[in-house]
Amino acid sequence: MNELVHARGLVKRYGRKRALDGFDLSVGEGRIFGLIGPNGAGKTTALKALLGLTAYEGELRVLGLDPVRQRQRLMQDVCFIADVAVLPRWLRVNQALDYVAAVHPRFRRERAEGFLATTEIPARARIKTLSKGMITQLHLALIMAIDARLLVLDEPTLGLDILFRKAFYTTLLNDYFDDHRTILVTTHQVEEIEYILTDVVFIDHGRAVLAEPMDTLGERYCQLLARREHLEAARALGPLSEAESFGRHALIFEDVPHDRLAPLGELRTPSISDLFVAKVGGSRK
Amino acid sequence: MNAIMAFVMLLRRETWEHRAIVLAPAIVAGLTTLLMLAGLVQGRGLSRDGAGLYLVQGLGLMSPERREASLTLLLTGVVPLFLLTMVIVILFYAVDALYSERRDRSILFWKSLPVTDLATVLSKLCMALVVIPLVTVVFIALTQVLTLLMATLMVWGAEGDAWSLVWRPAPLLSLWTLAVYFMCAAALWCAPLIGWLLLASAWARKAPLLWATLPLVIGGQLELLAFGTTTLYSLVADRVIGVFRVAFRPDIKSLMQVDGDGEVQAVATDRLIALIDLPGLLTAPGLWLGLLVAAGFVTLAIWLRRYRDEG
Repeated sequence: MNELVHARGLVKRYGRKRALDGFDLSVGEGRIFGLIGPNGAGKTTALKALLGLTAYEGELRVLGLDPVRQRQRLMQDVCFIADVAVLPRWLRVNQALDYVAAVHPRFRRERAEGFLATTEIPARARIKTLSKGMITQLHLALIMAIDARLLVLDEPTLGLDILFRKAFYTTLLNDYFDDHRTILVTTHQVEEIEYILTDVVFIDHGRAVLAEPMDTLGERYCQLLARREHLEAARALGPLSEAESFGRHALIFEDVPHDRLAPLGELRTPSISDLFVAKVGGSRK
Repeated sequence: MNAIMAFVMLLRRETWEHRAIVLAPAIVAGLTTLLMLAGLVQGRGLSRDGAGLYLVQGLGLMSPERREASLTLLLTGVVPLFLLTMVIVILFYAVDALYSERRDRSILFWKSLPVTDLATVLSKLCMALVVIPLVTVVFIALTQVLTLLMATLMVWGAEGDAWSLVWRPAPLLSLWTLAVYFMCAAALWCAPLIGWLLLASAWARKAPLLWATLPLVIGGQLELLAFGTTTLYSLVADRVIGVFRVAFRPDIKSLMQVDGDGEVQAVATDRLIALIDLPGLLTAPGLWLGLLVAAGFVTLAIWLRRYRDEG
């Protein structure tokens, strides 16, 4: 597998605070990585390091390049949306297309125009007259028309309503993603992107506390709905977390063989958000 | 080729964001022309016995030298207003150029595209030093042509000969050459000032204009207090107006013959070009020192845009 992002022991200090504290990441080609963490965990700092926007200590290669020293070359193959609000308010839609077409050798204008035609965005509108959802659509149209190898999305749907959020990821998956493209996305709304991810990374206090392909997640982690009489036995196996709802106890285990858990109750694969709470929530208490 | 196209697009981008670059000189040109037009209508300039008659008689009675002098004064009369406008536009453009993209956080969008910080900052420098002056020259020339056209209508109204009275004595080409030379010389001479403004623009988290001016004022006052001298102030002032001293021959007075009543009798229009002192400009140590300082400021601005991480 072609490794697009290779990070080992990344450290980023802001004064005495360590935004990244030994962060590791390995992203293979053709994957969709979800980078998930609480506020201030270092998600944005990690992405900024990958994009050559900040200096760091440690080992980092993106598409085999040094992101700080070879930034311009990197930007030919990497696209990113940093936040919904970053398109300048004075820019017009057609000007945005003109600009990207002139400076980006891999931008295909027809593609962007084709996508915009499916939206309600007027072709010459100034960005300040567009709604937040439309601005994100426009940004997505620009990004999707670039034949990039790695797309980095930092909270791309922040502040959008649910219809736009759904449409955003559906478009990304159907019209953009293929075997040669790789997506790295951070978001708070884990449930909404769970179904599109191939890999998940949890980040907390500047470290990757979990990095797992979705298809093997169920082998390493499982959620046990313990029967009351087996609750103590289950607790003795060292669960990551325990939650009670409607009188049922749900315990999440890491690396405990399924055959030891199966007699104690009903087994299933935890959802990303439950796993996140188990893995990260525990350390925050 | 692609690199040139991309750079031209960076320049166009600036005109989209800073519309004053074209609007301000256009408004000055429009207002001047309107004022002249109003005068023309007021003076019934197009009728046989209106102001045109005075124009034809006045210009007709003048000696050819005096006629040239009058037209030169008429055509250069609007130039100071354009220059003042240009200085204001450049000042506000330069302090905003590397600041606004950080204020509205669009810098992350621009940085998501394969454009280097070097190219971006140079495009902004190029706007301040080349494009804005060029736009100003174009509008000056346009206003001058419109002025002559209106004079032509007036002369025609009074059945005069516009070619001999207006167009032939008007030293348009000399004036335009002078204007282009002036803009080039000023760009080179004032480069450190522009570099300083760009640096302040890249540096400031707030109020870039204050960052651009306060250090100079504080530095100047400290110098005055400590040593009783005004070296810093004179240096800055010389960068603002010194280009006239360095780039032109000092005999501008001798070009004009002024009579006892203070009226300009003649301007040696054939010698307008002789005002240009290119060797003087190119051998002035201040020019090269200034360019060195400008390069330093611009390098710092590029570095700041490239490496500063504002969290």
